[in-house]
Amino acid sequence: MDEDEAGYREFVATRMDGLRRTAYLLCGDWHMADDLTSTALVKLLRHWRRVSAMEQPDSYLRRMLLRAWLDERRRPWRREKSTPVLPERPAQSTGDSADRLAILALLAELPPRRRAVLVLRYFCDLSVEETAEALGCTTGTVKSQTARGLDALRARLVGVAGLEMET
Amino acid sequence: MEHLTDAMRAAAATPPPTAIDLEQLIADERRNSRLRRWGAGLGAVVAVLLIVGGVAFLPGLTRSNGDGGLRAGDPGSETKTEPVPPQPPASTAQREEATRLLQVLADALVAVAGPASGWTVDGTMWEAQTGLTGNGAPLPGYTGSGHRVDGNSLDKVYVLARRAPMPPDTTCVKDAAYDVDCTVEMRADGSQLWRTTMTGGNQFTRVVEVYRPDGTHIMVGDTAVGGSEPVLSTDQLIAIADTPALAPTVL
Repeated sequence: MDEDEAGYREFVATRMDGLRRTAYLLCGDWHMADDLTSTALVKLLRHWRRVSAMEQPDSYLRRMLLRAWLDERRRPWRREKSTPVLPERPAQSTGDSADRLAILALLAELPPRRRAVLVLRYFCDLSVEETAEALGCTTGTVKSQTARGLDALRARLVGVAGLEMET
Repeated sequence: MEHLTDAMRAAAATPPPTAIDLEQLIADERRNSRLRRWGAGLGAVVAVLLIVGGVAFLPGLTRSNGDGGLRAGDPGSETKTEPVPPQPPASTAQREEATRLLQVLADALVAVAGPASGWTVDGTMWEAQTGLTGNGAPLPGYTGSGHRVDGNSLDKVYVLARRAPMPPDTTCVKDAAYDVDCTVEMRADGSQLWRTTMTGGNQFTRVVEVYRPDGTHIMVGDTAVGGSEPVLSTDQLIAIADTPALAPTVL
């Protein structure tokens, strides 16, 4: 077990940062990002002996993170309340910090799985196939979700200067 | 920023220091892993008891010793599944006493939790050997249970009433493995009060045991299944355990 734990520590040390950032882009909050990352790391530890023998343990870890986040989203007290009035769009950006907030606000308006598709594809740099595997869906679904997600972002980009997208 | 990738990278570019303590996480998982193994063994014992006893009570959630509560260094922390001897049938007097104790339990629940608290008593029965899940002497007594469903949460209350000697050793498991926390108090009336909480396996159990000076041993527990805290507080469980009528008069 000690050897297993040493391997686990080494693996986590090199992935923790990226995992937290991915979680942050999914949920938009660093505290929750830490919670989601912890959940994924605990699951990884629980199955480390099996996962460490896999060819791509990163995929497993990513799946655990996504599942943790999607599960969190499904909890009733996490569900957002619908309102009759659309929230205000991000203010005109004046610099990098505004852009950072703007992209988070834009992502937050997307449905969870669509947001996950964009984060996996454009932040984690996964292929369509890898994204489909991470989300447990077909490549066709990933393509369509990507297209819809990008369309939605474009539509919301009005008034947010500086953010352009490359498909 | 020219495209989405850059925007995302910039948005996550300056993370605050992480709150994740990897060493703590590993230590917690080690402990939970032991708890899961222990819980699985305990589940087997409870299953045997349910089959033999024929009632849905859960005495096994706390290791009630025949002559005491949870002890430091208790070898029972590694659950042993021992063969359960056949139970002799209860006499008429014992069945009547079980019925009386069931009403006492129902009244006590109403008294501490209110008439609209949603508790339902399931049953009470005499057993020749209560405390089969512990290491102490299996003594005759009565066990009973009740339940409360609220949405997706389930609480089970269980009670043990018997006569047992007051434990001379009051060393209590405190912050030990398996997420067990326990305290012992010697009360002014000469009784011993044991308070225990156990978490893990998606269950949270709160138990109190009272050893009265007259030799009565009452254990009352509330287990919440599903991650929430038990509905009954420790004080409410103590109030039930201290109910004077909750004492076996026929054994």
